Amino acid sequence: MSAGLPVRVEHLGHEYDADGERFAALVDVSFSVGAGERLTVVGPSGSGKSTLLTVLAGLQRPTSGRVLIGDDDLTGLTERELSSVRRRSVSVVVQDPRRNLLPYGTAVDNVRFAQRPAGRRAPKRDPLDLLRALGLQSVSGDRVDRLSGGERQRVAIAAGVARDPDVLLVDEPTSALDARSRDEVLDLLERVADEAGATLIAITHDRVVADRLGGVLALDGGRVVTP
Amino acid sequence: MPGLVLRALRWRAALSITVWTCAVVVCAGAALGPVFALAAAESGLQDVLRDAGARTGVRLQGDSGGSPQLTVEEAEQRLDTAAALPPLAHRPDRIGSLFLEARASAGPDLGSMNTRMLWRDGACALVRLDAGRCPDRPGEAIVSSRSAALPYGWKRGATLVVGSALDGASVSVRVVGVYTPRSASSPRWSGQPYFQVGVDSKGVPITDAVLVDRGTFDRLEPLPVAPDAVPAKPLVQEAVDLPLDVRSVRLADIGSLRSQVRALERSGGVDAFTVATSLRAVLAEAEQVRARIDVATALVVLQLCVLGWLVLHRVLVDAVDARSADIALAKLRGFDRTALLRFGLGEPVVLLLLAAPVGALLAVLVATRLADAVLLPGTPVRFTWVALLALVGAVAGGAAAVVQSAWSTLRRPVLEQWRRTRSSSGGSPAGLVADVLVAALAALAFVALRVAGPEAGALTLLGPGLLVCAAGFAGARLLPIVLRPAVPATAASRRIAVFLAVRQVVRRPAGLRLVALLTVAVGLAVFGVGGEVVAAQNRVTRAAAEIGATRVERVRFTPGQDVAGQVARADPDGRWAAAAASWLPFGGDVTDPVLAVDADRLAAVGAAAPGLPSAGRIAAVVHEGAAPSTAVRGRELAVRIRVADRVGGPAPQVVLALRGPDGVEVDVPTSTLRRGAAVYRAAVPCAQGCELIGLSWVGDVLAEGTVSGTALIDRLTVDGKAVATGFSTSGRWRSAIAQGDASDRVRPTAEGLLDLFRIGPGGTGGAVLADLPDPVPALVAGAGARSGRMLDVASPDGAAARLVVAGAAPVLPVVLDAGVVVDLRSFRAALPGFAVDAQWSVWLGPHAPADAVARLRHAGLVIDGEQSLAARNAELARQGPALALLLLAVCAVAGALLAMGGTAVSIAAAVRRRSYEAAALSTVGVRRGQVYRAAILEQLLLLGTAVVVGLPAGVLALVLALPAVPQSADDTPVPLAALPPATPLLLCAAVLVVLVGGTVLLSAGRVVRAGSSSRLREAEE
Repeated sequence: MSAGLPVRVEHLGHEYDADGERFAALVDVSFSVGAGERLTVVGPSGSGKSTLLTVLAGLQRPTSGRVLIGDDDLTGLTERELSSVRRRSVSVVVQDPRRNLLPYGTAVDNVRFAQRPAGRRAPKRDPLDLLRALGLQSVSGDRVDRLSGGERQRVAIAAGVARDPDVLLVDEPTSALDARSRDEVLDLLERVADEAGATLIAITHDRVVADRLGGVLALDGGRVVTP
Repeated sequence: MPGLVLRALRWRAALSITVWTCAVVVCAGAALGPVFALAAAESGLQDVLRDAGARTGVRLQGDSGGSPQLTVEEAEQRLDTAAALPPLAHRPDRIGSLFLEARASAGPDLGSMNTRMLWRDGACALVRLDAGRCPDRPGEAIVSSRSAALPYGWKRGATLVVGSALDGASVSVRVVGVYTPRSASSPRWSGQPYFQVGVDSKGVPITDAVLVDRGTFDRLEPLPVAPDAVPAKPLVQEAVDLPLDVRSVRLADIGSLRSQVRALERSGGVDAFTVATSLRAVLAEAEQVRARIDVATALVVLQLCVLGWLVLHRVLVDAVDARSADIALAKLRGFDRTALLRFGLGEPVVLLLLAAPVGALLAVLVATRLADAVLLPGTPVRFTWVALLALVGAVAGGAAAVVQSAWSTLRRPVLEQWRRTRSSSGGSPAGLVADVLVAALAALAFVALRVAGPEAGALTLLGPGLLVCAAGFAGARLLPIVLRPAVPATAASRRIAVFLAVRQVVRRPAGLRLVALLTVAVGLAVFGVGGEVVAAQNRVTRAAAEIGATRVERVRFTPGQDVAGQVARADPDGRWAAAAASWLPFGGDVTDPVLAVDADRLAAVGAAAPGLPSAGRIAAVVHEGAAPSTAVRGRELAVRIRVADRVGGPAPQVVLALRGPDGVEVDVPTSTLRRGAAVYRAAVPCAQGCELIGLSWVGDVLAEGTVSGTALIDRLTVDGKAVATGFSTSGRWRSAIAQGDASDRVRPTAEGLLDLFRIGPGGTGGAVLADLPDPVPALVAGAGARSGRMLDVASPDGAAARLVVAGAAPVLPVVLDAGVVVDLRSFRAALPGFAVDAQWSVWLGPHAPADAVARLRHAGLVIDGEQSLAARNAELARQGPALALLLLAVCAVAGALLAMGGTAVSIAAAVRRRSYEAAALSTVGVRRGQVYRAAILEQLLLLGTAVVVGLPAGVLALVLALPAVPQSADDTPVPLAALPPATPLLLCAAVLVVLVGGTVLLSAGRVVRAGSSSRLREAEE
């Protein structure tokens, strides 16, 4: 079980070019999340939520500011070191389930795939045990592309916590799900956050999700606003 | 996680199968080269060894102090020594022989002939006994049927006195049988001149060997010497022949065969025999054949492999693209570099490894089929370590393609992969440099080809590949430039489909890579198929020119034999057989070979060879002035002549001029020419048939005075039966060339042939049949022959004949670019002596019945081997360059199909991506039909460009490169076609258009079907 790592974002700014014009996706964003705590980033479409998540995951470099996960300043790391951080500490569950899972693999395959970067000798939870613990034993042997949207998302979260990450980043975990599936996914997220002790940062535009997960940070136009 | 890999392969089954298929083709192509080259070289070796015949044998010639002349005891010792030699590989037989050059006679009054007295191991098994039995005790002999047919008394039961030409020692032998060699050219005779006819420089006939029992040599009696002198021991020659078992020899045995000869030479020094063999030269020739095959095959296969590799690379790019999400996920999960490489490359590498054994198997199968089709039957097809190395190379090349195609995907940031964007866009400068380099190489290659021609050898096979590569790259680069102005032009028009298609082609580099690839494939396919069609056509032309007829049966000729008459008996209607003889003159103006062929029958049997005069034309030229002969068969000939107005005297003698079956003229005197009607009779030697030449009035040399008058010749009978002589036919008879004081004026009348004659003392006149021209018309090969020029030719007996140049052609059948063709009957009449020295044959035409040879044999001809157009064609097809061209055609077609398949898969892989665009267009109101038309037009622009550029590039390669590409192992003067007929090219184009059309319709249909509005809900960011 992980103890979680604190996440600190300081004066984060990010700009990009689009059709020859410069757009600011994030402007002077600062916040911090303690180890094992939860944060829900909310905001309308285009507010910079997903950009924030990709920066936190080390998938793109910000134009300015710092992102600290534990003692690692992501903005100063090489690609290889960023990979290492993702391997060791950070797990990401993105919005599109097809990007979280191998569609041709079973749930067990996907959990195993998520555990692979840890190496063969690293202690790992048995995928079946994990899926059973998360109430997914009934779909453990099914191919992912045959699962429903909710089941797929839950398997994606299971794969996300397969290596007991210190920080779990989740992007729009309930989009395109019906209410029942949404509740199941949120139940699961709460459970894994509580049981795993990981720092949880969720991105959502759904107030219900924010209310369930708590610790809300609102973004609008790339800036932190009072919710 | 092998299970996961297998599931992934199954998940992307179509793409996996395509990648695997491409990898199989690349592996098979690489392995096919060495496998087929080895089989072709084995076949080439067999061809060389078989052509070499007895030259592959080793002769251990008994030697005594540097001389091949040995006493009988020494010869026996040498035989024992050879028998004691250890067993030799590939030479299971040892054929001992004792012989001496001799002159033999059956009696003092019968004359003698030059021959060889020969004992040889197993000789009786190689001859057919026409009469009697084989000699099995000393003093017995058998003679050839040709010898027996000559008027020297060598009959069964006769006793021959055989005298050594060297030391005069002699022996008497009794003829116990008459033989005919089953095949005088069999390697079992070791190429020795045992069977020859002709005359020596003193006019003494030369005839076939007299085969005797071994003990006969012990009976040789030395020439008597003075009483007090010691008679010298008779000398003979001894040899042991070691024929090669050609079928058992493989390329790997060449070294050991050379060592074997060296070992024999070393042992010969001690054991007193010299080693004679041409094996080294034969093996060197075989190695040259192999080298030519190896180089040509390697170059052809290299092109297939490069094309296959490009297709594989193209397909792998799509395969990796399809796995982009998986690789992005691996990066998201934090895979380190090694794990990422393993995961990213695992699938294609597994496919590559799975393809290798199947590729090897396919290579063996294809090589076996090709070997069955074009190589000698029974040629082994083996997978050697060279093929294994080539296979490993192909796998390594495939792995390089995997790495190259996956490299950018493995290095791209996750977000770029998700968004399907690239940090940089546009063509790379390296690509432009590579394209320019290929174009420059192509230009250089063609300059080199035009300068060096066929001397450039197998390297010429690279030329077409370079040219079509240059065309492909240029086409791909020029297409967007050409279409760019059309973008704004079509944007303003209402034809939205055209705009969409043009815009897509202009901004889509991946499609342009397909254009380049397909252009190369199409160009190579056109060149390969066209080249093979031309080469096949040229092989037929060359074989027809070299052989002359569908089949040519070699005839063992006996002096005096009437081959043409025997052929006429076998084929009375003249529909399928013609006699022919080729001969090298002994002197005169003609030093090149003379082909004498029965012009009456040539048109029916001659093989057509484009670029050469037709058989009908040759027959017409050489037959000019000839008419059917008047055959006379019987014992008594009678001619009725009415003489009127005879003035003066004395009366000349009436002489019948005839030509025997051997072509020699025979004059048969009757009686003096009397007044009034009279029948003049004479016994004639024409039981086997003669030809009537004419009637002569021969004046008495000793008498004085001149006689003149008119003679009406109206009837000629043989054994009482009238002969159609054409006495009343215009042009059938003419005045004889007067000899001495004589003159004639001959004209046909309704009553018969009227001759106003005048014969002075010793003069000879008369009338001759105008059936044979004099001089003999000849068709001359080569440049510089002037029509009407007279040429003299001389035969070994000193006789000469005159030829007149009736026409000329650069190349003629059989004699090719040096020699003359004449009518056999005319030439034999003009120069009978040529027959003894000529190589006689019977030409069989396409309508020859299945039992043609049996009919010829039944007519009395001895057939001693055959050449055929089909066999020569097959032999030419087995030569290295021809095999390379065939392989090029097979590989090019395989490459074109592969490229077309790769294109289809590439388009199919792009369908999902393109379907978003189609869905968006549908959503904004563009009609489905317009989207469909746009998709079709786009694919047509891409694939159509490949066909439109590739086809002419292939044809251009044919025009520029084919004349320089060797089509056979040696040069030929036969004019060869440089371009194929239009039909195969049109067929090729039609197939390509159908393939392209099908691919276009399928892919466009899939894009439009997949482009429903619901697709937009899952569209990428």
